[in-house]
Parts: sequence; C-alpha cells; structure tokens
Amino acid sequence: MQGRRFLPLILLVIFTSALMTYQARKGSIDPLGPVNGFMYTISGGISGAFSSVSGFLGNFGYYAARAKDLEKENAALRNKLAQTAEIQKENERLRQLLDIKQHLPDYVASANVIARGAKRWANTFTIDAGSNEGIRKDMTVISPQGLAGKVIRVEPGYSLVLLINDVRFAASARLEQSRQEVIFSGTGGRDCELRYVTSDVKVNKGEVLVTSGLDGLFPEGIRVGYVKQVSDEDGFFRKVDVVPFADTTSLEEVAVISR
Amino acid sequence: MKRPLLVSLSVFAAFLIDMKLSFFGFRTDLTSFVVYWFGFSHSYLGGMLFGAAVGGIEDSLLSVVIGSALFGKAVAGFFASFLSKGFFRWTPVLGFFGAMGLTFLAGLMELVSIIVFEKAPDVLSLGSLKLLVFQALLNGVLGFIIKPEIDEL
Repeated sequence: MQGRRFLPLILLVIFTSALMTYQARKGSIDPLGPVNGFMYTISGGISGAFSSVSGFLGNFGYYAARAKDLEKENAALRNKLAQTAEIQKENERLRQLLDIKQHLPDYVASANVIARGAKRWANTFTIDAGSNEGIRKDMTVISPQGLAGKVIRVEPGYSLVLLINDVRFAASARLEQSRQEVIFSGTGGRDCELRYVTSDVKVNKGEVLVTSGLDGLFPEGIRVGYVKQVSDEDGFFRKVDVVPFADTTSLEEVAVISR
Repeated sequence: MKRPLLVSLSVFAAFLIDMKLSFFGFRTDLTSFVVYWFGFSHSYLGGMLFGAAVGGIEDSLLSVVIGSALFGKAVAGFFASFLSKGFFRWTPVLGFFGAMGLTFLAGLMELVSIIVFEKAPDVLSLGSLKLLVFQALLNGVLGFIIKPEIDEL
C-alpha cells in the first residue's frame, strides 16, 4: 500500500525521461510557444508598472514637504532632466552599438533586452529580435564592453540568449599577453573562470582575455574579461577567476553578430 | 476562492522576483519555495502536479529543453507533502530544513536532468553548488518564517 504512493513519482520519472530523451534526439518542443511572446510582453509591462509605482512611492515623501505649485514645477523639471539624462545615456549606448555595426562586418542585428531568465541554471535574457531580423541559433551576442553571450533559441520576434556567466557557457579564449589558449566558462555567479589551466600555463592577474575563434562558434578577438585572481594548484589544475567586461545584470541593448 | 487566487499570485510574484533579483550575483529561486509551501498543505499527488505545472511553465519560458525544472519541482512538491504527515508537525525548524532540503533537492534533480539530457557535463561545478546552497539557505530562512496553511486541506 505504501508503495502505491510512489507510483506517481515513478510515472513522473518515466514521463520526463521520455520527454527529454525525445527532445535530445529530435530537437526541443515548445507547447507554450505561442503564449511565450505574450508572457514576455506582460513581464515587460509589469516591470514598467513596478518601476512607476516604486518611483512614485520613493518620491512621495520628498515632494509632500513642499508647496504644491513648487512641487509641480519641480517634478516637471526633474522629469525633464531625468528624461534628458536617460536619452543621453541611450544615445551613448546606441552610438556604441552603431560603432560596433560599422566596424564589424558580421553584424546581424541590434536588440533590446526585454526580459531576464528566472531559471535556476540559466543566466539568460530575452531580446526583442529573432529570425525575422536574421538571427540564428548559436550566433554571438556582444555589448559595447565585450562578449555577452550566445543565442540559444530563436523565435520570429524574439530570441533567448545564454549569458557568459551561465554555468553552461564555455568559449575558447586567449590570454592577450601570453597568447595562451584557454577555456573560458561561466560559474552561475557574477564572475567566470578559466577551466583546465595547468601549472605550466603562465597567467597574470589583470591579464585581458579575448576570444580565440578556435571553438568555431565565436569570432576571434572579442574582449571577454580580465583575470581577477589566480589560486594555487588544486589537484591538476589551477583556479583562475575572471571578471567579464560585460556586466550582464545591467545590459539593455546588445548586438548580434555571426561568425 | 481565496486560496487559488493566493497561489496564483504567489507563483506569479515568485517568477517576477526570480527574474529581477539577485544577491551577490546569485539568482533567487522562490518558485521552489512556493512549491514547497503548496506541497506541504496538499496531498503528494497535488504537490507533485503543482510542482510539475510550475516547473513546466519555467521550462517553456526560459529553457531549450522542457523537462528539467518540471522534474525537479515535481519531485520537491511530492516530498513536501510528507512533511505534514505522520509524526511531523510544523515548527520553524522543520520549516527551515524542509524548505532548504526541498529547494536543494529540486535543484539537484534539475542539475542531473541537464547533465544527462541537455548534454552539459560542465554544469557540475563549484559555482553551481554554491548557487544551490545559496538558494536553499535563502528558502530555508523563508521556511523558518512562513508557516504553511495546513488547516485548509
């Protein structure tokens, strides 16, 4: 009788195993695909509403202490100033993206980040450009600061990007000074790391890392990050922490390039 | 009528917070806490189906292969119901260890699924274990504070 309790669990294991095996062999299925775009739109709208509400609450106490007419004038001026500053910042970011567009022959599209992934093992974000804009799976995503990630799923109007600090992200990279070839990988946290670095490889603190292009995925020469710390040998390999140039928590616009 | 609304809002809020918040570069995993919280006050089948639904949505929205979060959260929901049966009685300490353990279990199951089916052996690293422990501890604290409503069975 007790064993019957575990019957649903066994069925679950069989079902999910079959489901994932099927996808591993035939490619992913997306039963909620048509509504996902809608969900991202809602998510974006709610984020905007949250920002408005928190902005209002944050400013309420400040403005309540002043006379009404002064408050209105002040608020209008502040809004204008904030808008101007925001436009200036956006301008700067777009100029940097434009610079990328002009200098990279493999430029495909630029896009805005519209949602961030909440999945435990996936540091991802969604961008508002997809196959309609020419984006394909495995294309490289960069920010003005450096490598940001790669495209892992493409839909007509949006794409899912795996970020460089995701535990599943790995790229072939080169240390700029020593020209040593290394494997760069995400950790799930803010920093990244170099994998399989043996003690005979010379790694200097502060050394810059660029993509080597030898993995066949990422174009050569994209700035990735710098070496933050080199720990002593642990077993066969040394532990090398890397700080990525692209701050994945604050990216708003990115560019997609092909190899 | 109140309860389904509360559950739906909790799931939605958990997704939203998980999307927006990160501490020290680590993302939160409040959806696992909601699964524990729901599973605690329901039958093992109810807990499992709820966990599967939440995990399924998470997979569909944010993953390439559907099944890993579905599996992990369904397992967590299944075992959550056992914490309110038999000789277990809710105390803050049980809440802490229950939420922490089940969050860790859900993450571990998800991790194993990714390694096996998404062909990503590199996922198993110190970074991923740190993330698991952080999320489990955070949910453990919530489990200590928030008592599941078992009187509405």
